[in-house]
Formats: sequence, structure tokens, C-alpha cells
Amino acid sequence: MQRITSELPYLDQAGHVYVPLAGPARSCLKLNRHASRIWREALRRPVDLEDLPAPDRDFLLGLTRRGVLHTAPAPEGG
Amino acid sequence: MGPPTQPAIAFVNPSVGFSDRRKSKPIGLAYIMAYLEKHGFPSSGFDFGDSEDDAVELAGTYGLDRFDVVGFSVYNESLRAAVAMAGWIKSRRPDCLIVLGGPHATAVHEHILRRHPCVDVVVRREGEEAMLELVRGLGDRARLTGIRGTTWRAPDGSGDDGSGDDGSGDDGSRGGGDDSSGGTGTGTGAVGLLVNKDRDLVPDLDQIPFPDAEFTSHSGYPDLTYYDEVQGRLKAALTICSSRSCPYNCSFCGVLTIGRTYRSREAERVVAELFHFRERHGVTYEHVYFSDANFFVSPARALEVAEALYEADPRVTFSFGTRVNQILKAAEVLPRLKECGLRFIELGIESASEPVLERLAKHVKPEVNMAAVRLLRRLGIEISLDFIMLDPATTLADIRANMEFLREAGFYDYVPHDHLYTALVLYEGTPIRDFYARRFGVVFDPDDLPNPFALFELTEVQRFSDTLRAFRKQWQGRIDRALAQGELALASLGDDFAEDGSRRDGPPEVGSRRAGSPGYGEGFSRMSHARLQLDVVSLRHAPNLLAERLLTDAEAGFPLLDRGGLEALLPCPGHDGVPLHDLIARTEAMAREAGCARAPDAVGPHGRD
Repeated sequence: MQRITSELPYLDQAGHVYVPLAGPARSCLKLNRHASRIWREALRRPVDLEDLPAPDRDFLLGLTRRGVLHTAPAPEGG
Repeated sequence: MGPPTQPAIAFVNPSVGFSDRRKSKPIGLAYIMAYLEKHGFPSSGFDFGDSEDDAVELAGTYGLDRFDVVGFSVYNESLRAAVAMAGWIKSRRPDCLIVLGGPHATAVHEHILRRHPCVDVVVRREGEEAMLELVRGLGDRARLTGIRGTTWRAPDGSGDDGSGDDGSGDDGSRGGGDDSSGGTGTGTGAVGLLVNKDRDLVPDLDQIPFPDAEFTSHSGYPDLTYYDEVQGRLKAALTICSSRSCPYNCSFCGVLTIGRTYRSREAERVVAELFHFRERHGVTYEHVYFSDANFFVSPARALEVAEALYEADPRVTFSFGTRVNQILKAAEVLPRLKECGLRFIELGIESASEPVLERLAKHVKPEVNMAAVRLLRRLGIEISLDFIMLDPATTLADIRANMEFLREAGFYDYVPHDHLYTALVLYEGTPIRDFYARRFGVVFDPDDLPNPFALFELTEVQRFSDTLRAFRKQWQGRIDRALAQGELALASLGDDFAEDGSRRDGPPEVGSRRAGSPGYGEGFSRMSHARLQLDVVSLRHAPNLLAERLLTDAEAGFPLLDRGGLEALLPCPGHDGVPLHDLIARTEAMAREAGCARAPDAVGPHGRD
């Protein structure tokens, strides 16, 4: 299980998640509704990336590779 | 004294009583002036459209009593100013021929002549050919009063008394009927009037010269520009009208008074007009705002125009307005239009409520609006939103449908926020005005435009509107200023980064305005950059969030508003939910920290500072 965190603040408003500095040329990235849902669930509690559908996993890993998200092993029991 | 051999002619765009920040030259008058000039009758143009000065004072200041003929282009909002000017002119120059034209004059031509003795004649619908006949025939009253497309005050005892058919009902000047010149001939109309048969609409628009006319305007014209985000630069822009009329019959649209027979110009002429004005003004216009009522009636023609522009100059971009159903019907053309430089479409969505769409005679369902928006977003074509938030019979359910649409369609990110504050304007000559006159059991004075914010049938909608407008008055200006500063700062910061997020041109210089965090100069950190981005998004959302909260409160009977006033409804947007005032202050502070001042000696795309 991985605990996924975001170093920078993000905005969850009007039905979408907005991720700063995550877009082209460090612009603010507006996630579509599905991606917003994935983001919220990933940051809410520890997640097993292997259990996710491949597109969703790739989405999170892509953000991790770019330094937008950070992953760390979740503590036992959490 | 005989008629002047070369009459002094003036055309006036009278004041609508408020300042319009999007002011541009009155194109209808410009076309008439260019047409007359081509045929040997030069004229002077005066544009007071955005003036808040007294109309009679303006007439005196600019010497409108110097002319033999003065023509006014009249909208519902500007009739009183036009009549005041005309009255002043007549008092000093009784022999001056006063002509009124334009959509409002066309709609109530008989009323104008009956009520306002200072007006001699109304030119109905398109004015080029009728005005030419008028100025050619000065001094021959009998000939003048028989000109097709005009309405005159008849000499004493002549003219029909109006007990028969009203010619204006058959001539296409009202509603969305057929445009065939079905007028019932000379002499039909109200007491003492001569209502001549309709003139045919100009069939070949390319026979009319380019609208190359100059206007004296006390406030001048702002340089028209367009910021092209794709090319990343500000461009000088030109407005071109490539067609006339619209075949549809939206019940609120003033174009109905002019007629529904759609005519368009050849693509080559559109390109020629662009190059004509480039040379005339010494400005390399690179964006065209098509001001057509409906540019996309024929997708094939639209594509011809786009391809012709692109072939002439691939740097040129363009935009236009049209209906949602036309977007969906011609979806296959849109990608090619985008390749040729299409940047945004002004979309006549108007409402997301089915009952309202029916009243507005849009003949589309709400889902068609959403489908068109999604298609354009998928294609990466920006949308400029035409929206009417409220009309007199609006219910809270209608507003809820509108807000859900705006949120779902992504318009919470959209600026400016004007669409939130719009209410239906009941223009004379439109079916919706007649609809509400019957519904209310009243007769609206033809000289006046009913206040759109004072007609709501439901008290809860009235209160919703009043509160929203109070918010706009107290907060929108501050939001707009903070947004402008924040966006400017972000644009400036964005210039420092390549597409992949790496810094352009190496690390920042010591002492530069953004040193500090890795990739940033001093005084501004990566965290600050991130927060500024999020705060700008939140400011864009803020008026929408307020409208949502107000609507929810209205649906519950306004408990919050009753208890705490507008303050109780203000949203706390942002990633950290701060009060709106603090969000505004923080955005401004961060923008200053990021350094958003413009570089000195910068020259705009028009070649001026």
C-alpha cells in the first residue's frame, strides 16, 4: 500500500481538482471529473496502485514521476 | 431657395446613455456613408454611442445644425437622444431633413413620425439605396416621399387614416416572417403617414463598398486587439461583417426587424477588406472579429472565407458568432476552420432551461447546448458565451438549471463574469416584447426600453437579482482588478518556463525578481507561484460560488440573507477557504511580489504605447 501526498496545495472546487505547476510550462492543471475523482481517492487514504485500472495507475505514476505527487509506503494498519 | 447642389450630410450614432467598453465604429452607418461617397455624396460621421453627456449639448458642440441632411441610426436605447438632437436641429434649421433609421426606427416607424414632429422620414431596414435616393432627390418632395423603404409624415389631408391593414405587418419589419416585399403600397399606415412599399434587401453585398468611414467621436476608439494564446502574442484586430441577416427567429433578437433573408459576401472580398484597412490604417491587423449576426449559416462558405484568409496570410486568426445547432450540424468543418486560424466562437447558448429556451424560440433542447460546448472543448476551440441568466418569467428552477449547466460545462473558470448578471432586454420589434406585453396586459411605450431588472414576476427571483447585482456593484470590480494583476503576473512567470517545465535561458540572475526556490529568482518561491495559480482560479470561481449560495438560500426562503445580508452569503473560496476579501488582498500582494509591472517603452500591436 502506498500513501500518496502532494507537496504543494491543490484546489478542489466546482467539481474539479486544480493542480498548480503540473501543466505545460508549469501552468495550473485542471483535472477532468474522472481524474479528479482518482486524485481525491488517492490522497484520501493509502492505495494499492496494483489494484487500480491501468489508466488510473498510469495517471498517478505520471504525476509522481513529474514530482507533482509523492509516494511512500503506508504505515502498517494505515 | 433651391436644394443644395451638394448637400451637407451628417450621420449620427446617438448615445445609448452608458459607456460601452467594447466601443467600435457604427458599422451600419459606415456602410451607408461609404455607399454615398462612392456615388458622389460625401458625408460626416458622428459617434456619440457611449457618451453620457447631454444630447442637445453634444448637438451644439459638434454643430449638427450645419447640415442639410442628418441621419440617425437608432436603437431602442438611443431614440430619446436622437429625438432630442433632431428637435434642437429643427429649431435652428427647419429645412434640415431629419432621417431616422436602424432596427428600432424600422420597428416603430409609424409611431416615431406620429409622436415626433422633428423627424421627417424613417428609412426602414437597409439604408444604403434609400439614402442615396433621398440625397439625390432633395428639393423634389413628391419624388422623395415615394421612395421605397421609407415612411413619411404626409401633407395635411393626405395619406391613409390607418383604418385599414397596417403596412408594417406585411413588410417584414416585425417578427420573423418572409422578407418578400409584401408591403401594401403607398399610403397605407396610420393617420397622416405615407408608408412606402418595402425596398428589396440588397442581394449582392459585394456591390457595397467597404465600410471605410471616419467618425468624430468625443471619446475616440480603443485599439481593438486580440491576445492569441496559441501564438502567445497580442494582435491588432479588425471587425469585418461578412454577411447580413439570419434565417432563424430567436424571439429576442433585433435582427428580426431588418429581415431574415441571409446574404453573404464572397471570400475574396473579405480578404480584400482586410488588406484595404491594413493599408488605410497602417496597421497589420492579424485577427478578424466577424461581427455577422450569424457567420456560420453556410459552413461551406465559412470554410471558403477561412481558407482564403489563411492563404492570404497564415498569421491571421479569426472568430465569429453562431448557434449551437449549427455547430453540431457542421462539426466536420470545425477542425479545418481551426487549422485556418479559428480561435473562438461566440455561442448563442442563452439558457439551460427548457421553458426559457422555448420562450426565446431557440428551437434547441438544453442537451444540445451541452453537446456543442463539449464538441468545441474537445476540438480546442474557445467559447465566448452568450447567455441570458434571467427573463421576466424566470423561476428559481430555471436559475438552478443555468447554474448547473455553467458548472458542468466548465464555465466557472470563464471570464468575464458578465453572463451571471444578464437579464433579457425587451427590444421593440421583437416577438418576446409582444409576448410579455400581452402577458402583463400592458403596452410598453415604444420610446422606452423597459428596465429588464424590474420586470420579474416572482418576488424571490427579484430578490435574487437584486442581491446578485449588489454583489456585482460591491465586489466585481475588486475581483476583476485582482484577477488582472494575478493573470499578468502568472503570464510573466510563465514566460520563464519551457513546455516541459524547465527554465528557459538558464537559472535566474542574482538579484532578479524571482530568486529563491530552485528554478525561481529571489523573492518569489515555487510555493508562492503555486498559491498564486490557485488563487487566480478561485477568483474566477468566486462570483459563480456566490450565485450558487444565493440560489440555495433563495430556494430555502432566504434565511441567510435575512439574518446576515450579503456578507452571510460570500463564499470562502480557495485551497484554504479564506474569506473573499482576504483572497483578493492575497492575490494582489502575490502579484506585486511576483513583479507584474509592464516593461517600459513597450509598444502595442497598433504601433502605439
